[in-house]
Amino acid sequence: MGVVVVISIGGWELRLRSRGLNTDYDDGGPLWANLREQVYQADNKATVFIGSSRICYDLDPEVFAQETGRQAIQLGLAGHSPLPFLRDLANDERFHGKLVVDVMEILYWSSLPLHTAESQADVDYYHHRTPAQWASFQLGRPLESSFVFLNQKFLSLNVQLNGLRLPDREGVHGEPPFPVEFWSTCYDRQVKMMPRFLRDSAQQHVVTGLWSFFGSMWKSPPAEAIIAETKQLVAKIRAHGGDVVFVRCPSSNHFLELEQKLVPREKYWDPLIKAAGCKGYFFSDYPGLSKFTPVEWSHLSPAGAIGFTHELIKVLPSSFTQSPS
Amino acid sequence: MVFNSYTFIAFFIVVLLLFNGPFGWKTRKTILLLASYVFYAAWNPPFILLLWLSTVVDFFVGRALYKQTNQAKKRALLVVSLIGNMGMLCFFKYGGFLLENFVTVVNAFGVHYHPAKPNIILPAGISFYTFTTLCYTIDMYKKESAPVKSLLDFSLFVTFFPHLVAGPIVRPPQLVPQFETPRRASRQQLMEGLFLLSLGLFMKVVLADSMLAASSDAVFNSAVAVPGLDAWMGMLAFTGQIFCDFAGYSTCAIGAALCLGFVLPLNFRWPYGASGFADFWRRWHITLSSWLRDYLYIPLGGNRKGGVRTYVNLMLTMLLGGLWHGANWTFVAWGGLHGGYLWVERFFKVRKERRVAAVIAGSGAGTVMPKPVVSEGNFAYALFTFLLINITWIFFRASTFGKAGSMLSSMVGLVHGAAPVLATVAMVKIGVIVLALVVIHWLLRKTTVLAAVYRMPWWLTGVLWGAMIVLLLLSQASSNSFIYFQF
Repeated sequence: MGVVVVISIGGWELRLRSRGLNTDYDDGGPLWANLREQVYQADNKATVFIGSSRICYDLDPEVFAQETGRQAIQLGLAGHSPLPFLRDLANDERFHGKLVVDVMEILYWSSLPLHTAESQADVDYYHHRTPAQWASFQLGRPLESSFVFLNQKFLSLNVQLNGLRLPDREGVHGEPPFPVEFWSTCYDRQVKMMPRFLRDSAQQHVVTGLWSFFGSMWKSPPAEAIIAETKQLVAKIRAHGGDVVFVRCPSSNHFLELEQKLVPREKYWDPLIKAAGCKGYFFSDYPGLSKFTPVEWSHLSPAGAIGFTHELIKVLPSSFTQSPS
Repeated sequence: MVFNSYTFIAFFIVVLLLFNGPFGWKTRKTILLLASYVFYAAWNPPFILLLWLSTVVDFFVGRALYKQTNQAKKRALLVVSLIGNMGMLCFFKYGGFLLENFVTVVNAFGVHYHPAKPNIILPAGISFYTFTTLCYTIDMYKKESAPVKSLLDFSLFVTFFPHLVAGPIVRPPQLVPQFETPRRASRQQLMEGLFLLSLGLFMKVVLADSMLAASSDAVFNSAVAVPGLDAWMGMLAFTGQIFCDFAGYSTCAIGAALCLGFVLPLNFRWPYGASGFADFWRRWHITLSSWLRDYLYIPLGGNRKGGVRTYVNLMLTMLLGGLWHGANWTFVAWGGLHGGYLWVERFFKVRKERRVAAVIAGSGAGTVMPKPVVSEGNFAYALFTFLLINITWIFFRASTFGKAGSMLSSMVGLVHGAAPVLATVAMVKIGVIVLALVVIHWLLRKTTVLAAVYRMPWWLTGVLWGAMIVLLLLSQASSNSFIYFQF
């Protein structure tokens, strides 16, 4: 029995490493909750970030910490709306920190369960987490940081079987075939593209193709209700002693064109910032933020994230970046 | 904590080491009891108080019941225990359901009463440990077994972590004597226990969670009607999921106990290989079926009070059995359907027995017995049983009668323009797993897992065991709760 296990798992692990894959962390409720519980630090010791995938790729928490002396608590979630996170923090009277909200308009204004269910599930997990679940997360961490094959999102048995891509009936869509190299989650929840993805234009084309495919299904969402709710939520956070700013990270090419067409700034972003009464940083307004080109129209490379983080620190209010000392 | 978690693996290694340490028997039992409390508190620490309350009350009430000779006082003690146990269960599990139905009824009479929805958290395993303590109290009342001598043994009987939250539901004579004499697992027991633990985790993590749960959820949670093919496959996915989830838990529980040297009763015996519904209930959740038989069906009169009462008792038992699973009328309907199947089956069985008796009476002794209408080894009847059980699971899984109706409509082709939700690969997985389950259950229906394993060559056992662990490691499904925890 042991021989079968060692040979099979060992062989699989070696094969994955020979492909250049990194170890990473399962970006589920446990990892999110691990950071969520850290938002109660003194408000000059941490800055909290929520949003969708762009802030996860474009912000380097390590660089942020080195430069500001504050922890960057990354609570964004790829492919999902951050509104459940904003609601959670606004309804938490103990939270009085500084909050940066990344806005990817299509997701921010989406009320589809597809775009909100997982963010809400993370919030629920945090609030109902049991001591056993907390312990499991702590015990799993050394394993996840040692074995490449422990990558539930891309390398689990079920995902491998789903990758067989048998022809489906019309109207049925399986999981989008993102390349595994596109997505590696760090312990601080920064998401990084792996070196092979950055070298391989074919893989980048797969992802831009997926953006085009998704884009063909997107529609302009109604703006008013979400803007009104955001205004209320921001007011709640300020009433607790916290503060909020909004950030629009870079996008380019067809993706940006699509966004300009479906969710134009003047109809979504500008009214949101005005209603919330917050500062908003739209990348194209700032030369420092607009000099970065997303690898696949939507996200920055790890090197780009370092530069973007430096530039973001320059534009954020000093209360969001000042050192504890 | 759940068996499919890193926490349990670490916990179990520590418990195995401490329990097998150089300590006296009382110390080792105390270690096991404390470990069981840790196991339970790892969910929600405050609920351990309920467990303590239930344990202490039933220990002392049980002892007093056994010694009491005055019938009136005895009855009063029994009522105290029943109110304590059932009251707790009713409050936590059925409080919201009772209030909801009360509101519906008073609203129907024109009274505008709309109370706030109660926010009651269900303590893990309350249905299981309540039944465990209840049977002790009733046994003491009827003097069917001797009272447990020490509070330590009784606490361990109620709290022993392998069976605590989702069974098997144990009776005092099955477990208490094992605490009375010092024991350690033999090497064979340890290996068998580890094998069962691996098998249970394989069923839960690989088959139920990784391969079937998403398809079942996609179909049953679909906001719109699904086509017939998706409805049938969703139903089959749940059929596989519920078995692999629950039998997986029981297999883990039996395996974990065996690693410590204790034997828990069998809870599943290849239920999808059952020929008939009485046979199904002798194979599915055996410890609950036998509990309901001994503490509900027989006290109601069983089959001793004539034909009509037998049918009534049968139906009452199945309806209450359905309600035990969850505070929703869909569970009652599920129990009612099974009660109906048992009625029909019993009707034909009794008719056949009468015909046989008539033939014997008419022909005299030595006459060749007429062939049974349906034999227990009839594969066609087993398939028919399986089909009806499948359809009945819809009421178990659907959250409302509307959803159950929508599923049934889709299955018989009454829905048009529905949106498909299942990918081809998902349907292939469901088909392969459910077919394999039915074949394995049918072929092994007269034996047990361990007996089947002992018949295999050693190298094949090793390869299969290794393959299960490899698939378990590759599945990486998160530590999802077992379905039966909610009951």
